[in-house]
Amino acid sequence: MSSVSTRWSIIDSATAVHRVECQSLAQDADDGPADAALNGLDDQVVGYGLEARRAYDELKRTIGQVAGLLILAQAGGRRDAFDLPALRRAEAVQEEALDRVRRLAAPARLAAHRQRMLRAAELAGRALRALGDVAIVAGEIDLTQASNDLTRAYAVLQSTSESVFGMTMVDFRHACCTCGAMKR
Amino acid sequence: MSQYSIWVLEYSYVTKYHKSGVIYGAHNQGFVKLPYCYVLIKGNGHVAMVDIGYNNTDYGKHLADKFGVENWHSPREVLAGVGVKPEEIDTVFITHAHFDHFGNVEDFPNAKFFIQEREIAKWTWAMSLPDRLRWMMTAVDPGDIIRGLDLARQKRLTCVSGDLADALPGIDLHVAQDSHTFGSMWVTVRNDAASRTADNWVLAGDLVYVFDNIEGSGANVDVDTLYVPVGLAVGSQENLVMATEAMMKEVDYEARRVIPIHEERLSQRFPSRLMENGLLVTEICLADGETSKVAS
Repeated sequence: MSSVSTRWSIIDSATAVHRVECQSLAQDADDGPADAALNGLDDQVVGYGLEARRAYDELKRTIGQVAGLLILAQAGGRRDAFDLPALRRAEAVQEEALDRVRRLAAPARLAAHRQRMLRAAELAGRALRALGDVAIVAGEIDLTQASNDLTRAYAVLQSTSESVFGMTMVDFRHACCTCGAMKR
Repeated sequence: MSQYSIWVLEYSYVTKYHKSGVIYGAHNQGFVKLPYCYVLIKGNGHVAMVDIGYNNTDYGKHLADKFGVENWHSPREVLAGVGVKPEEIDTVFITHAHFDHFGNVEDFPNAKFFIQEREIAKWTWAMSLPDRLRWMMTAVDPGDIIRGLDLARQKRLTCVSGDLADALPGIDLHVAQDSHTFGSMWVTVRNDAASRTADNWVLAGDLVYVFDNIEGSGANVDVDTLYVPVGLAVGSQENLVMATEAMMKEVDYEARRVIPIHEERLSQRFPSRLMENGLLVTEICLADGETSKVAS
């Protein structure tokens, strides 16, 4: 992925949220992975970061989605939660992320980062597979294995966060409570 | 007879926030201060909160450096302003799943939480969508959903489907579907416990940011005031306006009884105290026998 195409994707998504005059747009245009924050990084690192970000986003969404389904099953009594087509989509996204991480060409100094991403992807996959083995214990749905794997997946993924590449758990640029509040 | 005391507790703020983010369509009208607050409700044997803020460990530095969010203080410090400890909180009503409302569950180890099922279900759905639709994931941290899952496993999370009367005695929950978020919730405190009461207070969450969302200028259409929705809706402006109408009906159209927690001017309508840490405590009402926390 070239830096130019990344810049445009950021601007495109930003304009969908912010008004034309919003200062966030000005910052977005200069503050994505194509900005000065990346100056001084070699191309291999930048290339790794941009591709890793895609996997990070996919895993972040997968983990959030599966956690939501588990909440619906546990607190909402929605035993049908796991039959939703969304679960199939979660599996597809997790597999895509896992493949992407496996294909990542990490510079030597980022090998440990890639390894953590791989671990997060595998744990998310384990959580999804555990949903297929959910048991009913004493009349209650037992989500222990899936919950534990998912929680660990989140913790490992969080440890790979890197704001220079936009790898953050919350995209604050799109948050209502920060819109236009860019520090000058 | 008043059953409950209500305080709005500021825990952080942004000093320069675009007015257009607060008032729909208010372009090029400058900036306002945007306080970040949560609400404490105390009385009738309960200590409850409406929303819980965010965890500064996870977000604080990024928010401070990039967005000018200032002066964050922990719930322990903020609640101390009204003589309460986080461990005393027994009930939390989460109005919606944005990080600054649902981002701090671990600080309340003894609380039971209420959130709309639709809020969880639709965020879950949104996370399954392709990148081109990811705007609908705005401001939600998967980590908060994970922590919500932990609450659920501890049987401390109740997913509410629609309105719920007497979640606590005299405290009702209402849903505003597809408005600010997919399953935003607002809270009514019926302070004399009667089913039809003249002593209702509405805690609006982010369905109303400021007074002007309720009493906006109607000059352009030749009326005194009208409802003007907040600047951000995952759902529709129509649903925001109709939620405002429902809230106003609940307080018999007495606008001061709808409490917007991002309103800088709350202290102009209610007694307040600026604490040593520079954060405001605003006293909305006092239960019988409760002493003021803002009187000097």
